[in-house]
Amino acid sequence: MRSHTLKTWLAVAVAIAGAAILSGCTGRGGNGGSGGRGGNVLRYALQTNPTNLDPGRVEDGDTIDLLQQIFEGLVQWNDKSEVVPNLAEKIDISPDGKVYTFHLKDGVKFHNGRKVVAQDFVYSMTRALAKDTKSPTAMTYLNDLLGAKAFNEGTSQTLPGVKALDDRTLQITLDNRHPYFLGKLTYPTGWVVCKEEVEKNGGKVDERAMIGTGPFKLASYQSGYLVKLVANPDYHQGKPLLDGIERPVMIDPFARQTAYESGGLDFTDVQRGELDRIKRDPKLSGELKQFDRANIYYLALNQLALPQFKDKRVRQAFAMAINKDTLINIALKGIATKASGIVPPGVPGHGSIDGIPYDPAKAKQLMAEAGFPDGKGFPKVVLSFRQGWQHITDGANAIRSDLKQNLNIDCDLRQVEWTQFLSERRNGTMPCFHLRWAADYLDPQDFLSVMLRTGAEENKVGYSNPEFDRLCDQADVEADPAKRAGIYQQAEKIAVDDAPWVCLYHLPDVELHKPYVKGIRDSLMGHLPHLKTTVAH
Amino acid sequence: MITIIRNRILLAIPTLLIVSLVTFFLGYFAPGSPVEAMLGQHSDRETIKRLEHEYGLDRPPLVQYGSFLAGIVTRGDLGTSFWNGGKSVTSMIAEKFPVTAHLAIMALITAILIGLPAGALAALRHNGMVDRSTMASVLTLVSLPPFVLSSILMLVFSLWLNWLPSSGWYSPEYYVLPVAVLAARPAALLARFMRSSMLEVVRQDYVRTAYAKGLSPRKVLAKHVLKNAFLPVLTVLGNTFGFLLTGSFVVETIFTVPGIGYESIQSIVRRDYPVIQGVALLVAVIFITVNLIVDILYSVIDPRVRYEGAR
Repeated sequence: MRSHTLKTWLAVAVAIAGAAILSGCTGRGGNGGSGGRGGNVLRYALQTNPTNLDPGRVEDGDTIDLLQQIFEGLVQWNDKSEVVPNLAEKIDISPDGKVYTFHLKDGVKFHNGRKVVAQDFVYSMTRALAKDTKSPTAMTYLNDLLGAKAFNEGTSQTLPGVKALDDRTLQITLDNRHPYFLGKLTYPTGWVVCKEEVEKNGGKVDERAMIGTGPFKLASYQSGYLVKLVANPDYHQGKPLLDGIERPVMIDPFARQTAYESGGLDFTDVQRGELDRIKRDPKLSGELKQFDRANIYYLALNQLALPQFKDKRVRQAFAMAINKDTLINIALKGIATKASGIVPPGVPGHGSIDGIPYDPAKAKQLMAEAGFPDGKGFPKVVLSFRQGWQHITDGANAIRSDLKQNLNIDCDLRQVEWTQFLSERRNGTMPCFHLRWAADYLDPQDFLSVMLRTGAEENKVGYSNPEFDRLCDQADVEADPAKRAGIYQQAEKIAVDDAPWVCLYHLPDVELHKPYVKGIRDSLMGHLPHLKTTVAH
Repeated sequence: MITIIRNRILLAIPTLLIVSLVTFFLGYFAPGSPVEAMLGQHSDRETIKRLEHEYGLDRPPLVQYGSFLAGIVTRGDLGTSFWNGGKSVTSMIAEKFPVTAHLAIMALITAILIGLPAGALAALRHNGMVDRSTMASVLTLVSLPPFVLSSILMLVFSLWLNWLPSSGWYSPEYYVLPVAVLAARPAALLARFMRSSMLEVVRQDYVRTAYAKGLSPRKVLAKHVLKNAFLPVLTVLGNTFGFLLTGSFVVETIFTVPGIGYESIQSIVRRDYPVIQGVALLVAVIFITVNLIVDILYSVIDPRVRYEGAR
């Protein structure tokens, strides 16, 4: 049987497919975003689809980085990681530390041209705390406001803690002295939204009501796809140097890396697994940049789930048995800072702490004293960690190896899907887990009192030390910054010695930046709004 | 014909009910809650309890399920997403599904245009070079997972040659790589099915009879061989389209195609139950519809089936 007809058909099919492919091939100069070098427009990817465009409800760092170009608050971080005034030009604090009076900058306008007044902040914070808003974050960052809890629960109809004295004066009253309050106020729950735009949109802040005061305005929003911002020429600190920003949504790290290397993005994150290749590449190695961040990666020893961890000697033995230098050099390719304490470097109040040294011999001795000579009788440890973060997986492998080699303790690794991990952590059922805590605001209170004080919601390991609690309670309300820092350092020494956690490392963000990208401002909390960034070629 | 359609529609109702019930309870019993996913590490008991109450998640499961069903039946409302700014699931699907369908249709056409002729040619050149190389290609494409193929094509065409973009969905040049990845496996499977089917048909007595009667090879191929060989492939085509729609989820994520696939994966991670249920129902409706169309086409192509269906 002849097959001319089929051969012809096959040839036509291949020709169509080929024509389709070739018609798309233009010897392109780049891809992603607008499909080529973007002029004076900065292009970098969103790693997930923006989760929530409402500052009162947003929770993840990637979306916050987007929103901070559009919305602002009374205060902000500067590039020295200090809290400085932003929409407020002056802040008065009462002697008892409970009343903050913010004097607003004159002439600040929303993107729709209307002048910002103090009442807008009352509206924004009240809205964030309102029951109907269902904010998952408001009670973490605005809970110190007088009457916040009752208002949020719906048992009170008013929020007495925030009021406008006049158009340019806002007064915030707290339930107690909280020296870290201004740091918490930098979070999006403290940002101002435009009341009439929100109410026109049925009370929601989505892409139709993203009217802020920031250096950029929303130009277009295609969910799951691309967000474009355009410079705000009337910005109160002067027009940004960029004309705009493009944020294509690129979930896959390989896609982001490819887009960067083919010219489609101006900067991107780097996966640890790519570091060796990048460092060997003469061009890419020169484009690697590192940014310190306020985080601590730790191994939690949960006394609630494994009673053997109630013994301090056991916890200290675990801390001494883990070789952090090897973990950092091999699992993390050398890009991390060994952690001696809990509070990361750069956070005000960070002190020099000796920490628990790597000492396998002493570790063995402590285990023997605790009744587990050479690990005998110690139950197998299940080490849980979240799925999807390669450096955590690699770290867990290194830890398991050290525990076996130095203490003869068997350890099973258990990778857990994130939401399930959160549930198990909350229920206190994981005996041992490897996790990160990143600063919500730059204050030791966020690392010590929040995470380890007896009864604190975030204390998931059952740690309790009355002296540590006393010092934290004292420091939490101490007015003198130097004295406060000293008290926190004393508390930290106790916690490090008690070893409810094994403090492992602090991890910076590693990125690739094209040489023509200049002026990116950064703080320990992340990149700052792109006011001074340029992409001049 | 009308009877077949009517019966299928009636059968679809309990099928969709079972799908919605199973999806709902699987989500309900999965560890972790949407509120925990929202709160991240800041999940204090009080806030969790408050938000679960506000979202109605503290109601008994049957009440929650009943409320969901009532919404569909009375208002055609699939609920609102716990994320995405409280957007309605119906509007999310309406916005994103056309993109997924577009991708799946292009992939199906590509798979048909390449797979069917390749399979037919391989059958006609049975045990020859064409047959062997086609089957080798089939084996390779069937074995390669989409994410591996995606990486290879991105590396070659986006990075090394810089011919095509690595992600996005802005214009036809952006369609090429995701369509190629999505079409690869179905094209290979169709080629294999078509080859087997044709090899089976060409051995039949009626084909020999047709030649014996003096019909030209072209006429034998067109009137007898292809038509009969295509019938089993038609069934596979129907399922292929359904799997293309669901298989596009991974491709959409890798190539940043703004379809329902990426949203579905995120909704599972975030325990966004209304979106999960909405998409599950959508997929069920698609499979039911596609199978119905396949059955109708089957009865059109094969008169014997038509006769049996008309009883």
